[in-house]
Amino acid sequence: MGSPFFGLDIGASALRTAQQLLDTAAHNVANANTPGYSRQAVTVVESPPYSLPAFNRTGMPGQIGSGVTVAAITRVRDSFLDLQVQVQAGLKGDWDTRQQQLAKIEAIFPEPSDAGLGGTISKYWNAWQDLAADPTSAAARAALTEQAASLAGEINRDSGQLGMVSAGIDSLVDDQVATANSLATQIASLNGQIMMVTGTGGHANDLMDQREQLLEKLTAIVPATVTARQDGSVTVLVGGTDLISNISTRQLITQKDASGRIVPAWADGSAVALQSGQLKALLSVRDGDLASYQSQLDSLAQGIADATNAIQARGFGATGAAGQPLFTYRPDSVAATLAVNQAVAADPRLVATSASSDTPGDGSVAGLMADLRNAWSYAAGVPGTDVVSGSDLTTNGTARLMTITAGKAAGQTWTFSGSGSSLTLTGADGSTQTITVADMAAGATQTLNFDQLGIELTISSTANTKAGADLVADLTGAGHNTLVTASLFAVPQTTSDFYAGLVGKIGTASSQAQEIAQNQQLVVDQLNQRVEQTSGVSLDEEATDMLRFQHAYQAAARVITIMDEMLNTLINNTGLVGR
Amino acid sequence: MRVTQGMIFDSTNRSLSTTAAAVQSASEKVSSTKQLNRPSDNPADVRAAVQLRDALSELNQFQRNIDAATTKADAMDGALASAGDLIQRANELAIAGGDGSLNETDRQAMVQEVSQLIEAMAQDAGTKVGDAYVFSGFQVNKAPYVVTAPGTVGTYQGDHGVAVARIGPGATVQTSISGDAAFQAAFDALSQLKADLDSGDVVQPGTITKIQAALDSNLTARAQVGARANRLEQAKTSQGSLVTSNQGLLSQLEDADIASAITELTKRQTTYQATLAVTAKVMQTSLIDYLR
Repeated sequence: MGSPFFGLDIGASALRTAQQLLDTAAHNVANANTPGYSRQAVTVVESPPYSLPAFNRTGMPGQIGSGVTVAAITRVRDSFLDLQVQVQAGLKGDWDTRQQQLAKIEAIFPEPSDAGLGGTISKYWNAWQDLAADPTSAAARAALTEQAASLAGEINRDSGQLGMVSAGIDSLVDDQVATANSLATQIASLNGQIMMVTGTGGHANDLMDQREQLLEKLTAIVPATVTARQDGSVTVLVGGTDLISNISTRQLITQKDASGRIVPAWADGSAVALQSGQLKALLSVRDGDLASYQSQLDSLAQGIADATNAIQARGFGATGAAGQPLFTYRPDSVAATLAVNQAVAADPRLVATSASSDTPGDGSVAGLMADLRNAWSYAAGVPGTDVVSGSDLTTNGTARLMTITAGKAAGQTWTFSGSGSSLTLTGADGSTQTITVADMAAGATQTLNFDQLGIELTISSTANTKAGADLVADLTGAGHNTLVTASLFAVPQTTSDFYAGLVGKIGTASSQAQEIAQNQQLVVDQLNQRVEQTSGVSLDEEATDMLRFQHAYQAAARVITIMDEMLNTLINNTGLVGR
Repeated sequence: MRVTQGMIFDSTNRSLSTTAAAVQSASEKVSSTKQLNRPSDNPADVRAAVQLRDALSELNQFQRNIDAATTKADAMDGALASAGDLIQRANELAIAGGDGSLNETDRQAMVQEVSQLIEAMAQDAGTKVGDAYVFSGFQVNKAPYVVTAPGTVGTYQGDHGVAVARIGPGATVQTSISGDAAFQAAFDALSQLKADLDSGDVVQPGTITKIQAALDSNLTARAQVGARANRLEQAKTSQGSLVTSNQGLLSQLEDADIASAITELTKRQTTYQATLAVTAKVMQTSLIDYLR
């Protein structure tokens, strides 16, 4: 038989347990909106029963229940989901960052509109057309140099803005590395606290929630492999190297690489392997996309500048002076340093428009400039301006090389030879084609089409009729018999194609990043929903629980009251017989 | 499935921001009237639009070139017509002076008139568009013929430079006629006439032939200019229709279909409002509301 006070103890244990249940429900309600919080559950078990010591147990129950006790308070969490969240957070961080940076780049090229570089390039070619139509107009000359300056300015500005995005990324890399270090330090410190609690058999629920949150932030920045250990700590590997192990961290630093770019590294200077995450996205936008756009902008600037300067060198300005380069640039950073030659800007009469020094009304060189708009390549080094021998110049008028369209034949030196009216063009690689040159009337033009070589020349005769044989003699005469072709761009295409291609590439990269970032957002949302489904606090649930636990508490109190009344009867109303 | 308040809040937030973003992008389309507002809107179309814009800009430039060439052709035509009249007058004088019945005074008066004709013709040859002499070849800063003494002009000062105008992709039209081709024969004929009259002789039949030849070469030059003007006009018309069709193409690429854009906007606004209304309803209810 047990003690009459035993029931009081049982009632007390029920009170304590109900209290704990209510407290936990309160904690859950209080943290319903705390980010990263997982609801906590109380594991309630019966207290260990005990057996009454007796020699034999006839008529006695074997074991007596001793009430209830709280075994543990644990968080409701699916650690498999946590791993998935960490992986997906890295991918989301990657594409989010990529999309943000590409949107900045995209804003530099506001196409299609009149405000973009495309419109400026068009206006530059148009200015040459105006000048070709009226080479003596001082206004057209001034407009041309202005337009050239605004083209150079626009390219400088675009290049500068690309540079600013790149510099912005450099400082973001610094920030991200600092954040990653700080997160790592916090996680390591939480590791220590959790290990202490775990070591004493407890559950560090709230600390683990905090750590989960920090891990999610960390994996968004660097691709971290998180492994949970028996002692409650987590080991975090980045690219196979441990960033966090127990309570110690390995610090990340930033350093400049050979080309002066800020890159992350381990404290000992070794490289960090990054497969995903914001940091990787920043580096890949800067060193991949941005660097490629910058170099294409350089190519665009150089293509226009070189072609312009080469053709300018073949002509003469309004003062009769030989053509000067219209553009200057530093070869190591063309787009950033492209400028109009100061001498020409100060005196637009120096812009070469004529094929000879004494023909102010001749706009043929300005016309060649205008024709560059649709050209893949240009004749870079025709020795002499005219394809005639000197004695013809005065008596016979001149035959002049007007345009050259050299598709695949760019960047080579070609030699003319021939006899009679048949003309042969031979390339450095031995490829050759012979065509027949027709007689030409005064003022007529003729296209010499070396279609097998991909070269087309247009020549014109200014005044007098020239026989085909004369033209061949002119073209093969000493000093005139070679032709060097240069391509505007590495892949033969027009300026407009090249620029449109650049804009297209930027647009494609940006729209792809937007789409994937959006999809990744959906994946992460789904995962978060599933985490929330398991670990989120449901107020309805907690309210129901609270009702239940409140009743339990009331019942336990009632039990104590009954015990009290029982003892009262025993103590105050017993043994009073006959009083 | 377990549903928590957090889930409801999150998913509501998400759908609110998604629908708000949809409203924003639809309203951007309506207010800018463009469906291509940045390269990523449709990279392939933007690429085509950038190229088309350059092509359009060039076509518009061709129109400018055609206008400039037309101005020049008109000026040339005017000068040549006026020169034609002068030669015609010279022809009449030659016929009148050819019968030998004139007295010295009349003859000198005619000499005077021919001198005037020559100087007037030099003026016609010196027609300018802007600052440029149109009949001097490339020597546009030199008058083609300078009056050296009353009724006498010097030699042709220009050259035979051929100026061309770019009037279409790969298409050019010659815009110049050298002064000696248009006027030399006339000056020669008129000088001869003046010399004939001055010497007191009858006007030689050869002189009349020369005047006729001058008239012919004047007509040839005018016919040339007229043919060019025709070509310019044709080019202008065909370029004009090219501009129109290219603009249509560009508009198809770039411009939003306003009617459908507005419909889309309304649709998305309705969705947005519905989401808001549902949110307001769902958010209100919880067990807490029913407990006392």
